[in-house]
Parts: sequence; C-alpha cells; structure tokens
Amino acid sequence: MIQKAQRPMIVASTGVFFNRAWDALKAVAEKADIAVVESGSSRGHFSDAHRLSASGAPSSLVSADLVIFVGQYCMPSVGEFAFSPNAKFARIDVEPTDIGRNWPIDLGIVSGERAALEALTDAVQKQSRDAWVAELADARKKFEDENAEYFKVGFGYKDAVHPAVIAQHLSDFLYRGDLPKEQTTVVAGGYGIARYTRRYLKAYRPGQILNGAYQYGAIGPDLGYAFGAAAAVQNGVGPQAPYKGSVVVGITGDAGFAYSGMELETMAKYRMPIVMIVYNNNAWGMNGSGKAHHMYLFQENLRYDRIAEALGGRGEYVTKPEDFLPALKRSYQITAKERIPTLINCQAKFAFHLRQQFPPGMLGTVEPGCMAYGH
Amino acid sequence: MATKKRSQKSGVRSQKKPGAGSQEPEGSKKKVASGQGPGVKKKKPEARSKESGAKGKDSALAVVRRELEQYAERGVFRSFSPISSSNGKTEFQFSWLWNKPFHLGFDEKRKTLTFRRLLPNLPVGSPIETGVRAFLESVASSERPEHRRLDPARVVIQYSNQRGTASLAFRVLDADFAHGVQRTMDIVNEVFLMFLGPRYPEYLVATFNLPED
Repeated sequence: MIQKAQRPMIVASTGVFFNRAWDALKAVAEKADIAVVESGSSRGHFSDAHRLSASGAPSSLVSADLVIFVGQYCMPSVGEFAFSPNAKFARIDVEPTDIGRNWPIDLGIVSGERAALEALTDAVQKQSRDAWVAELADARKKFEDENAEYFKVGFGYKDAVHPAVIAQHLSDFLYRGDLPKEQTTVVAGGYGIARYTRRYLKAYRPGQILNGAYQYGAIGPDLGYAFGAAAAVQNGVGPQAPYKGSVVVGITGDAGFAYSGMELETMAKYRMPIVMIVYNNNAWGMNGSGKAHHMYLFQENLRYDRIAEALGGRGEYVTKPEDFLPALKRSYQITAKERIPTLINCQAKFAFHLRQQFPPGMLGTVEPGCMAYGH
Repeated sequence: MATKKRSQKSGVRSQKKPGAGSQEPEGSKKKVASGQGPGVKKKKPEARSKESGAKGKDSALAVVRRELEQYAERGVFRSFSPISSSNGKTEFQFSWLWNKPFHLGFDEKRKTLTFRRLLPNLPVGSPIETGVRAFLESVASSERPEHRRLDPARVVIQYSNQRGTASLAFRVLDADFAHGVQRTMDIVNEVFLMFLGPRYPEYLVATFNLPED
C-alpha cells in the first residue's frame, strides 16, 4: 500500500508518545517520504520543523491517498478527521477488538507501535516523493500566512487583548527569541483561546506541547495539568530530561481557572516555575451562542492576577495588546529566577467570539494536526 | 481563473423558480467551471475509473450505484440505500459525515449528481453563503494541487440557493461516472471539513446539531 501510494500520511498519536516510538517513526517516514501528522494529548514526537510534517499543514490532509493510524487510541468518527473519503486507511493498534472502531479501515495491524514502525522501516522500499513534499511545504506556508493575517487583524483591536495576539507573541517569544526553541514545555489548554494558540505553537521534540483536556473538549484541568508537567520538567522525567529546571508555560481560559485556580497555591507552595496565561474573555457561564442565565455568569474583568498574588505567586494584568509581550518576557524571567508561578491575566472580551463584530471570531478546527481538539 | 456561467440571469444571488418538470436544482444557478492555467495538462481518468466500466457496457446508474456501494462496504457510509427510482432519476440515502443522513440524487439523462437541500440556513448574499460559493469556485483553481483540482472539462458544479437552502449539483461531462462520484464526494467532504468546519463552526453546531467541542 505504501509503495503504491502517491501521498501517504501517518497519523502519529498517543501510542507513539507512550511507547517512545519517535525514532522509529522518523526512520520509516524518512525512508519512504511519508508525511506525518500528530494528534492526541501530546505533540512533538515528530518535529514541526521536519520537511515531512503535516501537523501545521491542514490543507494537505485531504490530499493523502493512504492514511496510517499509529497509536490513535481514541478513534474519530467519519467527519471528525479531514481525510478524503477516497483515501485508503490502515491502522496499527495493540487492541485487536478496536481496529475497526468508528473509522473505515482497509488494513488492520495488531502490534505495539514501536515494533510495528521498526518492522515497517525494514520492509518499505526507499522512495522519494518530491511532489508530495513540495505540497506539504506549500500547505504549511499557506497556514502560516493565514495565521499571520489573523494576528494582523487581532492586533488592530486596541481596547482588549485578542487571542491571536497572545498566540503570535507567545510563539515569537518561545521560538524566535533568545530561548532555544526546543526548551519550553507548553500546556495548551483553554477553549476559545486554544482555537488560536494551537495554530501558532510549535513542537520540536517529544512532549513539548501537552494538549490539556484534549478529548471531548472537557474544561478545567489546565492548572493541575500544568503543575504535573512542571513537576516532570523540574525532575527531568522522561523526554523532559534535557530541559530539567526550565520554565513551563500553561494556557487556560477563565473557565479553566474557575475549575482549578486554587492549584496556584500548590504551584507556589512547591515553587514551580510556571507562567500561567489566563485568557479572560468574561465567557465563563456562557454557551457557544453567547447566552447564559445571569446567575451562572461571573462578574466581568475579574482580577485573577490578584488571586495569584494572594496565593503566593505573581500576577500581571494585561489590558492592551502591546503590553502582552513585555509582560510575558518579564514573567518568564522572574519566574525562572525566583521560581514562583506567575499568572498573566489577559483581559479580553466575549465579543471576540463573534465573527461579525470582531472578525475572524471563533475559529473552528481541522483535525488531526496542531489544531486537534477532540482526539 | 475564468468562471463561466450557465442558465443564469444575474449571478448566484438571482432567484429563479423552476418551471414545471424542471430537472434543474431550484433557484439561481452558477456553473463553477474555473479554467485551468494554460500550462496545465488534462489528467487522464484514474485507474479505478477505468476499471469501473464507466465507458464500457455498464449503465451510468450501475456505475454510480456501485461507486456509492463501495463507500458503504468500506465503512465510509454507515448506511446506504436507494430510496426511489423513476424516469431515469434515482435517489440514494446514506449516513456519512458525523453519521448524519445525506441524500444524493442521480439524473441519468442529465448526467447529474445532486445533493439537494445540502446546506440549509444559508441566506443568499450572507458572508457564509458568499464564502461557500467562493470555495466552490476555487476547487478548479490552479492554486490547488493538481490532483485535487476539478477539471471543468470533466465535472461541472452547479450551485443553487432557494430561500436560503443551498443545493449542489455535479454534472459529469465525460461519461466517467466513477470519477464523477469520487470528485463529488471529495468536494462535498471539503465544503464541510475544510471550509465550514474551520471558518464557520457555529453554523455546523446550529444547523447540523454537532457538539460545540
């Protein structure tokens, strides 16, 4: 199937990370010029910088004529992943009774992920697919151009902090500034904010992005998740070992903070160097259409930064787009030096959700890839 | 990119009630048949199309039906059945994206596959409707990868909108109905997953009752 395919793609998901199969994944991808797109709860087991990466190339998904799911433990239903109905599909999974769940599978392989990928590396013929590689590059550029346009629009809204501003400036700081681009682990949670930040974040090594509450859009665990990630980084656990002691960045919304804000006390108590970005768009209590009963809504413009200070951390309150990047740089530096958590309370507004008032409004997703939300 | 128009008085926004017995989708029509660049070679039909017997002894309906059955056999569709057939016109029903019901009609005389009332709640002239039409025009653009580019010499899209409900028809010009079905499915798939999904998620939630997450 791989030999016959013109545009093969591997969906590298949770099982690849859990089984540390990233070297085998890279070997088979490079040998046969197979594109790789990530999904699931973590990213970076295939670098976004690789010429075969499709994680930031959403328009390439529908081009794949062969898709191989590897370690996709939570299978999507048809319509949830943006592949062509005319593509062929294979799945490698450890559980035989799960092979055909939800998605049309033409070939099922029951195996551990690493063993299968190593065997596949030996079995496939070396192939070059220059046209496919060029298409992936074009698709990545198209996506980056689209995101640049969103930032340009978002930065024009001056009375609050648009999510595209947070996303672009965070990306600039982490990957295009003084920090080594592989260094910082990011817990990419939130709901409305994640629709933007996941587009701009990059993963260059295993476990660099941890998608909070990735499955079925649950909200709430982001602060606790960030604490757990920071504990792993501070102790140099697993793939975080080379970055032991580094600052961790967490992202959440006001709803996420409402669920687990008290974890800031835990972060402060254990002196975890975490910069927690809260996208405060006064949306806690509303549904997607912007409706809610008054009794369910929080008061507007709450000062989560002051709560952080009261709990033993630092707080920053950002109300204008041009103030976010300086606050981020300051927070990162102080957090790294003093080893206390910082919360950056980014004051946004719910209307950013509304396309007609504030384009581009709420964004949807194309999955799998960097925008993956549900699986 | 050149755009041809057919059976159209004043563009996509015009509303035209069909006459009695009209076989065309209701409302205004726009032939989305954007030309390829001068340097673009026409693609030959893919192997699967040749094998399907589209130009051989099988009737067009048999080819269309077999193509659709293959989606069902593979599990792309959760269900599939022809629900009516008369006077050279056949209606198929199947569960497809998000396990939602879809209806596809095939008019053998007009060589046309039609998703009637595919997109409700799409007011004429609204930003989302304009976006859908632009997306459909773009599928033949030279900016798309060649293998995903619609060849207007082989398949032509006709968009119509009747009182805010859009239908899409795909007319097969080269008698390769297997190819026609495959491209039809690809383009409708893209309308939902590559255009409406990322750009108008709230439309899918409100209109098709998808979960917000």
